[in-house]
Amino acid sequence: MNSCQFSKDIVAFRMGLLSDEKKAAFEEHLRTCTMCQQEIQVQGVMDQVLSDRFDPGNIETFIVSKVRLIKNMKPENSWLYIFQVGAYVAAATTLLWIFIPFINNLITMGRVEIWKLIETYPSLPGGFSTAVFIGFAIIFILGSGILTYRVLRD
Amino acid sequence: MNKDWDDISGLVKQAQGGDESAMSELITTHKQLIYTITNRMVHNRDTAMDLTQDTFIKAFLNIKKVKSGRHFRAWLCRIARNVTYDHFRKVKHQKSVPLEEVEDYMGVDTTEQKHRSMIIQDALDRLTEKDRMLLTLAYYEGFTHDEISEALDIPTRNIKVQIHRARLRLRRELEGREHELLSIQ
Repeated sequence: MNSCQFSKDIVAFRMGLLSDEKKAAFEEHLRTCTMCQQEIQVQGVMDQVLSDRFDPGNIETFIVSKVRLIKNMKPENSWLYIFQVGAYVAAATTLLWIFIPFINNLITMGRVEIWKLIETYPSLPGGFSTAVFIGFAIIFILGSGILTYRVLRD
Repeated sequence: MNKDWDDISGLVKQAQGGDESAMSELITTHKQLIYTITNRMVHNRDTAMDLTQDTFIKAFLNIKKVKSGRHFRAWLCRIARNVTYDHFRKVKHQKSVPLEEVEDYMGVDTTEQKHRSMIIQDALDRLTEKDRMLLTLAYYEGFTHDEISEALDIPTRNIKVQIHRARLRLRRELEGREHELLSIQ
């Protein structure tokens, strides 16, 4: 801002915050002070630009259809909602309960020992490798956790 | 704001009952406001568009929480604010924007106007998020101090003082660019 002692009052003047006495004094000063006249112009530009509005175009259809889609996905019935969250939590807890002893063993082992264990781990009936099954279980637990979090958050 | 409070209250009630045409009309009435807020806040057209859509989607999923149409606009702005702040937390907002992007975003007619808008927006970007939000609402025609107070959780008695301070801070950020602003007027 300029070095004129009145310049600090210009924002208040433009906002109509000055008392009648101060306003009259400032208006009198403004007639002769070119620095304050310029400052008024600068703030006029500032106000003009900040009053601009922006138009996003046609967004109505997209938003309404998205809201409809989300509402259809989300169970309206609160009991069903609670059941859904409960099912996720139960599934995650059960899997953790089964695999925690195994994971506990992994923590106490070295990397080489873990690989040996996975390689020699007996296959499940049907030839499905236990190591692969454990991998899926971990992904499932993580997925359930994330889903539960998202359902509760929304 | 073309519609009066009674119209808005009616539309809110209809939207609470699931009426999609009422939702659509509420979007039409408020989309400029929300897009202007998000544009001023993030300074990027595409991101602002995403945040505008997120704001309306969140609003309509929770519209049953609105008690009366009189509070709808402030409530919507509060959602826009939260959505924008969440965005900042996620991406750690980068303030430097390529020139082309700024000019593209501004959406005004002449090169001079674009340049002038760019100078002001650049100064605005250096303010805090709270100041930017406050100034955007303060300059939005028809937005009352009561609504600003409700949207930003600022006591009504402090609004004028806070706007005054924010304007002074913005003015300070424009220091040294006065001639540039006036020469392209």
